[in-house]
Amino acid sequence: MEAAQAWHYFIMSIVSIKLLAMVAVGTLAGIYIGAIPGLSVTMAVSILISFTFSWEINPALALMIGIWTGGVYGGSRSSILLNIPGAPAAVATGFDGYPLAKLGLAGHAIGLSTTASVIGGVIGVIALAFAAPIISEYSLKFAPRDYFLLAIMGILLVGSLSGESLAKGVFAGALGVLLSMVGMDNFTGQGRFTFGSVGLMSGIHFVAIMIGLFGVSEALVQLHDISLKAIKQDVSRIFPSWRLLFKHMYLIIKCSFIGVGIGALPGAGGDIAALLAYGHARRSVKKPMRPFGKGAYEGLIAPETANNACIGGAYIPMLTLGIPGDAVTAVIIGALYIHGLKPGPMLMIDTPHLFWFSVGCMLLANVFLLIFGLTGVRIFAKMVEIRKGLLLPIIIIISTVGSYAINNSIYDVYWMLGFGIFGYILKMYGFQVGPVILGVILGPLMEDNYRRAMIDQHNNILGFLSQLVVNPLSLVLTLGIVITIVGQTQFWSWMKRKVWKSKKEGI
Amino acid sequence: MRKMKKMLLMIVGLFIVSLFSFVQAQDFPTKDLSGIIMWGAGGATDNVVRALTPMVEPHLGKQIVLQNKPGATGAVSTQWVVNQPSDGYTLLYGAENPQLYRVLDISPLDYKDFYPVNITARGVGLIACNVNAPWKTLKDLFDDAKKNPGNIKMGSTGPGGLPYVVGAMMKATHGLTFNAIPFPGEGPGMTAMLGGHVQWMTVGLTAGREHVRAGRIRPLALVADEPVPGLEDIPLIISAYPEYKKYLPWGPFYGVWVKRDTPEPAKKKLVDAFQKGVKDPKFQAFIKDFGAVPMNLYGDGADKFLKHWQSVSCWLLEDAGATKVSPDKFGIPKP
Amino acid sequence: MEDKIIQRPGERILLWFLLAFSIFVLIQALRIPHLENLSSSGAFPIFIALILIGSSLRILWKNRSRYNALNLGEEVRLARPFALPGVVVGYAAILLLYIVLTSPLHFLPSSYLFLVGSFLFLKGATLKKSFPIAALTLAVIYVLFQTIFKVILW
Repeated sequence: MEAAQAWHYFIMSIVSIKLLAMVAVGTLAGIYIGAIPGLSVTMAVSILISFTFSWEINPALALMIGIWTGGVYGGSRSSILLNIPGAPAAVATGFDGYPLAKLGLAGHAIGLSTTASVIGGVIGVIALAFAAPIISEYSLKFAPRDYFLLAIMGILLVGSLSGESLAKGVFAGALGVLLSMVGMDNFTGQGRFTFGSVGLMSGIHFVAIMIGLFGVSEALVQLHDISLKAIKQDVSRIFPSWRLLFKHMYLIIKCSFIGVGIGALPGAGGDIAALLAYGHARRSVKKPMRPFGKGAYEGLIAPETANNACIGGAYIPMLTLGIPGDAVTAVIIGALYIHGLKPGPMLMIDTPHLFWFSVGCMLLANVFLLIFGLTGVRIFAKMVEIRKGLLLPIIIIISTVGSYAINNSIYDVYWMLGFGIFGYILKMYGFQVGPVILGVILGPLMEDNYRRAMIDQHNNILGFLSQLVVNPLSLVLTLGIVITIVGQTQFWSWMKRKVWKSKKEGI
Repeated sequence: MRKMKKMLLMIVGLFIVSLFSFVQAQDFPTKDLSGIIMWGAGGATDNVVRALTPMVEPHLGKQIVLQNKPGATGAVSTQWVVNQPSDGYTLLYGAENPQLYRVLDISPLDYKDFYPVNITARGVGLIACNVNAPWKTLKDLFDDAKKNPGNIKMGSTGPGGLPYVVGAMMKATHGLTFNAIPFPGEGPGMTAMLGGHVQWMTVGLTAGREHVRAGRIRPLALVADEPVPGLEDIPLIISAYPEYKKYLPWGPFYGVWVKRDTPEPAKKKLVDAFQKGVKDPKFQAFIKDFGAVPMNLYGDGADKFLKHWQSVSCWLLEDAGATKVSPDKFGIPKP
Repeated sequence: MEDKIIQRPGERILLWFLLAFSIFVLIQALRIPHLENLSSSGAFPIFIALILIGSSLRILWKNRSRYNALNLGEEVRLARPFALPGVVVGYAAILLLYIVLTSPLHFLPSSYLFLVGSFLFLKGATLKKSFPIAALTLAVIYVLFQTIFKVILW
């Protein structure tokens, strides 16, 4: 395609007031949809499908892209302020974001997460614009065993999230995996841990678990010092200093690549990207400004960058192959069908404008994200200053409605409240809830792909293991895991000491 | 005094309104309907429903408020709708899955408990393979599978799904077995086929057709007994192997149901509205793009189709050893 | 010596309970039919159940001296003020009541009662203010979810 033509499509959304407005409205709405737990971008976009049925494709798409960009970012708001991830992709944001709010730095944290999101988002768009064909070919290379290795890599994060005791972290992580297995096994149709109930056949929705374990349990912990005054939030400075940004630019860029890469994989989405990026930050940043888990800026930057970079990544298989990269792209593909387009590898040949038009809209959405994300922060931050006696019941009601909204099911409400109480007990006795949710998110990825790889090798354990090192891509992932494990345990320092000692003795 | 007057006015107003609605009670519907979708947002069922509903609403004169209640391959939704009153205000938007609930021991319900308002469309399966696979025709694949039983990697979507059932047909007619690797849906399975992680798969036309057009997968046969417009150059499975005729037409289907004991006038009104909605040229264009075959069946015609579908699928699953309860127990006849 | 030990009264009880739960999980996992090979439905559940049992045993063993610092009677007595102070027990009771009543009473009435009750119990607002604040909260939620997002609340 000629550059002039591409440029024309690219600026389409910027020069048309209508399209510009669509992206703006979408982004703003997305931020709030994302911030409210239980309301998801997937839901919003699918409602829009009927709503925009009679529209042209361009404004409909502009609106959807705006909502998506805003929604992925919006999840961080509630994560930081209330410790309730508004969306699964914001789970990792809360690990260090919520402690920052507790220190009275909610405004600062939101400013930083906005900036990180926008930078990540823009890098994602750039990757989409210039490397889409290469990235989509690479994403096809991932076999089930590679997804399995990816899940293992993510689950290793349990090591850094377990708090006081590794054994407790392992228990919590395994508990999460167990929860993810409840329901019908989609390999065989066999019910597992269902005790014959149709309600349990569909499993326990992980968003219900997430809202309960994070939001409600934290509300119960807060009851202990209910009379204490809420911390005063410092809202004097929202935009992070340039120095801080530049200092972490390397981390931001690395995490953007993680986001784009994971986003482009059809079997993994923003939640997994954010967790892997968080894990990467914990391992690679040796001297964070505050300890991880206690409000480290690095721990906030990494997942926020990655989950927004994921958007560009997820768009790649969707536009080039017609394959959804995550739940949102699945709905957008549906929208494309309904608007008379044919998603698939021919999409960009049949409707050439779509590619650069999408790129333009996404870039624009990121600009609006920066504007909307940095305004109104003061009001948000002040929200947490509301008296606890008022705030906590309201949090619980929002959590209730939010968990009902996931599947329109009252069972999810019961689960959510049940996990709230259970999570409270776990927290009181030194268990962290982070590993539980890690297990819930990564469990299916790990189990399903392990089983696929096993079936592939006719259930031969040796065949399975050799697959992990024979294929170059798998080998790289396996090595990554080995290095992580070695680096995380005392083994490495013990080796170093020993080698050093023997050298000395040799002299 | 003024307060009294206001109150009186309100009471009179309320009375008039209620009278009005009483008169209207003859004409179903008097309030918005609720549409329960048994699969989640973004699935094929969801796509068809969300395209169809705006076409139907004008003919009903009321809105249909759509809700996704996914879970247990749709059993959560069927259970929910059964628990609602039989007044025709709760529609079940569904796919083929309930017809297998009894033999898979998921739920005692299936479409015998529902009245088919409209079976809108059905999908057609396309047997396709990775472009690097050695097979040029379906016969090549079958010959190879005979030589290497259980070794050729086939993409699947779990028991009862399209690839699984087509695999079961091959087992029943030719005794072929494959190494079936299950994926959570057609998209991931297709991805694995593109990447060569599985060698062949039966995919829906919706997704498959575009990849065929781009030359990224090689079509071997259509699982259909009559040609699909626009795809005449792909051979039908029955032209090579006529013995598959007894299973066809077979494929996923999408439609709308209400409870069996809904009053006749409501059923009639719904059937009419959906007939008109489906015939809307805009929706027909969508169905064509979507790669589905329009059906627009209701009532007895639809029931006949449903029974045939159920008997074919249940017995294929039974023969493949995937059922938990034999279809015999429920009196489902052999095809 | 004794005062150095960070003791969370009740932890031992919780862990024994978690161990029992893990064993129950293992039994359930073993009962999943068709355990023929390493990719069966039951393989991964058994593996996870073993990890659960292993890690809970490990915690119990590692902290055995710490746990033994209290006898069971003392532990039960101390656990209540530590993990379940009056306000938490009271509020958990309100929550449970809400869980039980929300389906039969429907969303708006049950949530209204819950909000007003919570505000009063947690001293978040006076009796007079509780009613309008609860009504306002529910109005916002109702408009947002039911009207805009078409989530038909129960």
